[in-house]
Amino acid sequence: MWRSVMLYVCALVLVMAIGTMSIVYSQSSTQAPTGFNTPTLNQNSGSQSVSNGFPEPAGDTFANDQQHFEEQDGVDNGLGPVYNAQSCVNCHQNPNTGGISQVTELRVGHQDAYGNFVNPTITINDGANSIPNRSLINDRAVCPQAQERVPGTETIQTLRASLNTLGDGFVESIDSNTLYQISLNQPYQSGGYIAGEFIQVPVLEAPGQIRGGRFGWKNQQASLLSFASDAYINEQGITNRLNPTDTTTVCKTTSDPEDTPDNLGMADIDHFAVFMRGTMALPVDSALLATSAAQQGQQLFNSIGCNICHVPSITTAPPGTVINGGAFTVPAALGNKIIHPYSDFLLHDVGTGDGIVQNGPADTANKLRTPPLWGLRTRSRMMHDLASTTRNNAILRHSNEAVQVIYNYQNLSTTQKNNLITFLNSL
Amino acid sequence: MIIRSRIPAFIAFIMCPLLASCGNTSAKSIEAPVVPSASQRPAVSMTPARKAGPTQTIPATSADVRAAVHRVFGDSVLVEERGQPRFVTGDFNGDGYEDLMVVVIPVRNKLAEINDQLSNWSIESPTHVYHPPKNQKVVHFPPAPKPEQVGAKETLVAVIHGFGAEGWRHPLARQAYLLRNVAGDWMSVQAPPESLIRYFGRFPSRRDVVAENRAGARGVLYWTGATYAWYGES
Repeated sequence: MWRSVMLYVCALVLVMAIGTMSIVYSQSSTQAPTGFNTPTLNQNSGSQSVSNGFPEPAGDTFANDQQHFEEQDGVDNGLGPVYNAQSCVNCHQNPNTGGISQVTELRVGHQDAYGNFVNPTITINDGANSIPNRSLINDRAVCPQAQERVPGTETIQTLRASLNTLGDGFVESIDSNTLYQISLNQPYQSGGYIAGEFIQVPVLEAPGQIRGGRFGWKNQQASLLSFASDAYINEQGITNRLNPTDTTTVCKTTSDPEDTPDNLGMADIDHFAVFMRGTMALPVDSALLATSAAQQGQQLFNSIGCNICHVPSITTAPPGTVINGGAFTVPAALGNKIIHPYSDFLLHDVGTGDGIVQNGPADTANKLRTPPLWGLRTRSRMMHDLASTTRNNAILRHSNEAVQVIYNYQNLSTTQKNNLITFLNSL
Repeated sequence: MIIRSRIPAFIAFIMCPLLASCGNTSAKSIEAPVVPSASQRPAVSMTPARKAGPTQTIPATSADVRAAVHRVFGDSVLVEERGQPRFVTGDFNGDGYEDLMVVVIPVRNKLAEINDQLSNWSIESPTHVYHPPKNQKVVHFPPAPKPEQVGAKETLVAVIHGFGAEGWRHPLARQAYLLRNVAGDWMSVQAPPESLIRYFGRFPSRRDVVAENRAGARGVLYWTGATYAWYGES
């Protein structure tokens, strides 16, 4: 009898151990794959691109998605009437497709009598038409009549740099609660100086649903399909199923929506989203990072408090998690992945704010999203307006919420500052 | 015998938790909605929303100014003492905190420290700031300028941006600039003139500019949002 009981107890312990190990193994996080693995197709005959393993829709390939991302659009397929560029890759290309560029966009507006930001109404076509309630001023048009020009009433003006899209599938897969929790922790980490603002914005493909914003300088988008749709209408003037109406009909010759499904049943915005979801996270310069200077710089980065906003590591939601208001399920390729974005994807006032309000509340006028520092070594100019040409200057431009951290930086020795910048140059 | 008769039950006993744990890998969960609670919102004492004007109104004394310059620039520069120290205070960068602008001279044997690429201040030449023209379809930015270098016999304008209610007197107020070629005969704080607003645009927040007479030319020093620039009114 006792022998039987002992056998059952042993079996129970064994089963519990195996079950626990199995659960832990299935849910343990792994490093996200990294690499600049999307060489621009027109410079590399035959695709040499490698995806992160994101499952492609039936009949589609990563190279085909990249081809759409690089496609140059014209008036015949809906470009304009007002636009900034003819292709996604025009602004997202360095050092390869999906990366950054020096291209900026222009946003303007003004304040009402109470100091609230107000979007402009831009008259075009010699005053015969207008484009209301839109802070973005497109720098190009398909005809002179449609060209937008900034009226003198719009006294808030700012330039915004093009952002990186590589690795954004992992960013999309971060649970909103993870970002919210980071925002709650920051005041305690910083003695009350730092408090990132978490905002929730509509998910266009899931009407009525909201989610933690994470894309764009104002965190104005929460999903990559929403972001692709928004960029297609606003940067290229191509209407699509989520943004079906053009900004103006002046010189318009096509019918809406201009982005229609192909033989795979996918519209361009679907290909863009799949491409971005398939890109790897940005790699570090591992040789430089391994140097003692960079290692010491990394320690300083954390010890002086840069890491409070430029968060070094975030783990994405587990595979199978339904996000984007039910419109997307995190696949194994993106789930439970540890990424190193060096951002909290929250809005902060570090004294460089531009006065523009987009999807957030009024108090976000002078706040900007913490720019991820992964891939920083690919930038020659920095900050949202690209006005900083040196790492030191970019750091010194931080104030307000960052004042204590910058004070710590200013008290470093020259050697320590050099080490910190060496670390930044390894990202 | 007892054990043998219970082998199927034993196998089932082992398989159930194993299958259950495997099932977890594919189980769908839904991102929980985030409901920010007012009680959970962190209180931030040092970074209030932008105010309509500077909070610091205590008149600045020469001693205050020297102390602030020493705190930020160390022994690298000295307040220009020929005649009365020339300094003004106001909210130059429009963040609601009082800033300081004072004429200084570099200490001759500290030029290397002043011009160090990792110094704690930015050296700028406001007369060389490029202002993108409006109403152009494509703006071609000029090449990045060479880093500014301070010379031995220059007269500079030092700027210290304030922080918190103490403004430029706050121990953490160390965002600083050394401005070349703009130390004028006199300095006075005023609101941005209409001609500047027509040229630059209305600023996103209320701020002061500094009127000067620079080598016979009247103009104002103003903060663009990223740098200090000179606007010649003539």
